[in-house]
Amino acid sequence: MKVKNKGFWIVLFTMPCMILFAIVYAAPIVTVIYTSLCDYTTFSGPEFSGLKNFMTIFGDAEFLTAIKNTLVWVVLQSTFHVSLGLVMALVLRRKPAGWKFVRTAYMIPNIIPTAATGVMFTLLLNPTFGVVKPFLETLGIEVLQVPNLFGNSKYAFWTVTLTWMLYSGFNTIIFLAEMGAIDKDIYEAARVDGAKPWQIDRYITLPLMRNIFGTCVTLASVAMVSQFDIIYMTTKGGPGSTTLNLPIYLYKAATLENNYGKANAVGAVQIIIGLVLVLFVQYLFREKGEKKEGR
Amino acid sequence: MKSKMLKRLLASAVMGTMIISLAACGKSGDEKSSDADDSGKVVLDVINYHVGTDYAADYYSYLFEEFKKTEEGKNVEFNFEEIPTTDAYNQKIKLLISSGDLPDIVFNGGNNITELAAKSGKVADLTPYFEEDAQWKALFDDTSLEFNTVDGKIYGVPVSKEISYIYYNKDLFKQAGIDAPEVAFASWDEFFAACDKLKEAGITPVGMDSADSGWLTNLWMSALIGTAGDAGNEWMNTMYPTDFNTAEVEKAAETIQKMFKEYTTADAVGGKYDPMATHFFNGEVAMFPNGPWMIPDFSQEEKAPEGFYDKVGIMLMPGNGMEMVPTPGDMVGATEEDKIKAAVAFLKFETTPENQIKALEMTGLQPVSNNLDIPAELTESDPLMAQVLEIQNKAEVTYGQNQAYWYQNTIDTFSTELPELAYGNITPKEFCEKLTQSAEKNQE
Amino acid sequence: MKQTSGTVIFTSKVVKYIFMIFFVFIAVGPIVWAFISSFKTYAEINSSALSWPSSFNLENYKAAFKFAPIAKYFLNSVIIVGCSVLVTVALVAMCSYIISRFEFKCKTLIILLISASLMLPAQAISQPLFAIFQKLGIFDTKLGLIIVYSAMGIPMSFFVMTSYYKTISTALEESAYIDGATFLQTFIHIILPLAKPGLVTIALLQFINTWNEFYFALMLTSGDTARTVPIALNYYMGTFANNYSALFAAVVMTVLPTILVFIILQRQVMESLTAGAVKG
Repeated sequence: MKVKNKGFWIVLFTMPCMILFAIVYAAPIVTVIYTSLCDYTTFSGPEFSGLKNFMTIFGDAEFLTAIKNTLVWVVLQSTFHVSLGLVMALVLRRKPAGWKFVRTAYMIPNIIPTAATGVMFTLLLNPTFGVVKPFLETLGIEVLQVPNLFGNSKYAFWTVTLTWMLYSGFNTIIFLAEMGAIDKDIYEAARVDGAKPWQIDRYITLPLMRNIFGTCVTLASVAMVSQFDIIYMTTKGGPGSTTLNLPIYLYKAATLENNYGKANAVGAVQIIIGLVLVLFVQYLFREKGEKKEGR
Repeated sequence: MKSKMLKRLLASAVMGTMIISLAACGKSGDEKSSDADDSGKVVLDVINYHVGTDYAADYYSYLFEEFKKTEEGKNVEFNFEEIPTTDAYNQKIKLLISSGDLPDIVFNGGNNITELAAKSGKVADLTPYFEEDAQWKALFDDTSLEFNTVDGKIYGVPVSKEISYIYYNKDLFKQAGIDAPEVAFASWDEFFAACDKLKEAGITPVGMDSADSGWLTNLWMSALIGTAGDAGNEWMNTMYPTDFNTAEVEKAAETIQKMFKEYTTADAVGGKYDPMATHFFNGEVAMFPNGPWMIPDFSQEEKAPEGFYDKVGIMLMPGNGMEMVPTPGDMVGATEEDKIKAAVAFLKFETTPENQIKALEMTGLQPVSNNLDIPAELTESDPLMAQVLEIQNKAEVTYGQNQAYWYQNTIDTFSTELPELAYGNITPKEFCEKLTQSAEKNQE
Repeated sequence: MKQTSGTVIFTSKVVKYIFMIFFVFIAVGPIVWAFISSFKTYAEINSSALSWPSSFNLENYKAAFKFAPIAKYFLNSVIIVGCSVLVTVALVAMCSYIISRFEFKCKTLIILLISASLMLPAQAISQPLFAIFQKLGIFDTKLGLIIVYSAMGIPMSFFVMTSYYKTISTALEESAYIDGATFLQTFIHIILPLAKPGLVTIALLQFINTWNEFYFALMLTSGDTARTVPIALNYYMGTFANNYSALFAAVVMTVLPTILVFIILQRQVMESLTAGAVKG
């Protein structure tokens, strides 16, 4: 595009954002990176110690478990969770009866404070008085022992996952907004040509969602890399290290071991993993999209 | 349409800016570091976590009010910051230790805060004040003061002692045909024989948990170790143990595993304290380890059925054992002379015999001083408390518990590995190895 | 032939409604459950998840007010989150427009910086921020939290908005420039109105993301002036003294008004959808 004073506008429009950013993030980013290379505890200031912290964490089996769990959650979240939001948006787009109610209702879990959600799930899934026993009985499944969903490492990972995976209202809203922006004439033309609804979705809506799908995947993966609250409220990473992820590991290093150097080394790893993910996802979803626009 | 949209947008942008600048202006006048106001009063910054539903909230608001009526306190104003829950409080204190200033009075929320604060040099050495006031110092025994000493200097003023033992449900014992012992079961074998009898009668013998810090299970395990001969007892009275692979600890872990499998409720694994306590209140569990602060709950109709208070009996752990630890004491973070003095005056006030008794009455916290004269009204109105005061003198062995003595991260490992132990995914030996590894992380 | 396609449509409808009902159920279930539980006593909450409360009285709601300054914190939340939403939306509307339309030297750097900040662990940020905020004199102010929340919201809103701008055809802008419109005129009169659904969406997302923020609200404040709802909820939790009944009462009281905000904001998003309704 040809714009007069292009450089001026670029600076003017990006500056406010960058200034706010600098205030909040500049010092922390530098601090995290630098102190990850230091001996640094609650009561003693940072002293350079090279790669010691990184050697420590990579020599710790629990840290590797934390990375593995984090990545599994990233994959689950960026595939199933995001797709679920997309499917819901596709359903709601056609405004079936009650769609307004569904749209709002599906968002509600996102505004319930995590402190309450954690208490809720632990009580609801309590093996002696929770919903699991009556649920299994309704299904006609006889069990000698009611599964202890948070307590038993056989189930804990999936139980924790389910506390967030099905709540995709966030993505639904993003997709709905994007669908609203699609040129109405395309749909009209397709309908005139006799395209079936699923064909319209498959060949018109979905391809146009490519870009925003990439965005949602980015956001979902990043959210998983820094997922903390609900795990902390329910299992604190246990049993064993079944539900341990990077933020929980970091939290434990910082507040339980008082080892800020180690914690920030984990933070640095977290940032790097996150960045690689963001770049990877952008690469995945860019290729074709960029070519098509062919500006 | 477009210009309307623009106007709205602009209007909201302008409003946003205004609100921001207003907020900024509004705050600039409120300088927190003003030392003394015009009337010559000393202002003490305090972060208080005894707020909201905290068991000692009422007691502490009483204490602050009363202090201002005393000679030393009449010129003192408090500037409070409230932080509900010790978890949040400790996080904030740690942040302040590493990169800020501590409040003038630093309440102790556990978590090895004493050591961290002392090492940071941000709390005052209180040794001279103890030396200066022999009468005050005489209120504390050596163990309590030692517990609050770092590198030979006293930093914390302990305000209470923590003890715990077993509460049992008399009705359930009768139902199972067990004669409850006067003081305690003579041995763990007798204890487990009673458990078997309860089980035969269809009663779940003990309350256990694993979430948060695994408080109840910790009390059982500490008792198992602490009553296992001299070696075990010494181990359980050691601060920051790093070797968990001793015979006594491994044996105790094995017993804990058995208790999870056979003698407790299905929701104990991964469970939090509250549902477990409710099991006990509802008469679903016969024995429950805990301390005197639980007594008020027995007669609270929200929590326990009417008349439950009278069904509760008290006994020590098998072998006349009792958990007893000094509490980590409150500290002084003030740096100016007059503030330090005022803060010390408050800590002295907090530990007067009268207030220790008041604390006992209002919260169930046990006095830190030995041999205080407990008024008869108190023991008459609360027979269980009277029994607690009496039975603790019959303890033959005392020992600590993990929340007071272990490293923070080891307590966490204890809590997260307990379910694995309970389900047999790891052996007792492996369980202890995990604890050892975790404790060793603090030595790096 | 017609018959079968009728059946297909019918089945697909049934599937669609089962799908919707299921997700409404799991979404609304928790808050309904919290509402019911807010009338239970401690004993009832901790001994049965599915029973009805023995009586529907407002004791727990009274307790909720007694234990925590919930009304004040709610107001703080509204102001802080409200302002942060405005700031984020305004800044991101500008910044991501540039990123989506122009190629320039530092573009990749900006994107990388923004991405990196998404991953910064709160524990690591809190110490430097604490020090900076005290120096700037915005520690324990609403302004301080507004700044942090606005910055926290930028990355997410940025990604969504950049993607949204890309869906807007550049043809309109081109012709505006040919007609001699300036950059600012084009942005305000042509782009912003078209971007409205996207802007409302990021406003919603920013609202959700900051409404429940706990850690910074605790670390960067020291008094009642700037504390928010999530902190109020902690007043009901204490070792050996959790009051879940009051907690749920407080949750119900604070969640209901926010649902209203939601409904209003969502109506805005949907206005734009209405025009493009596709039937069948």
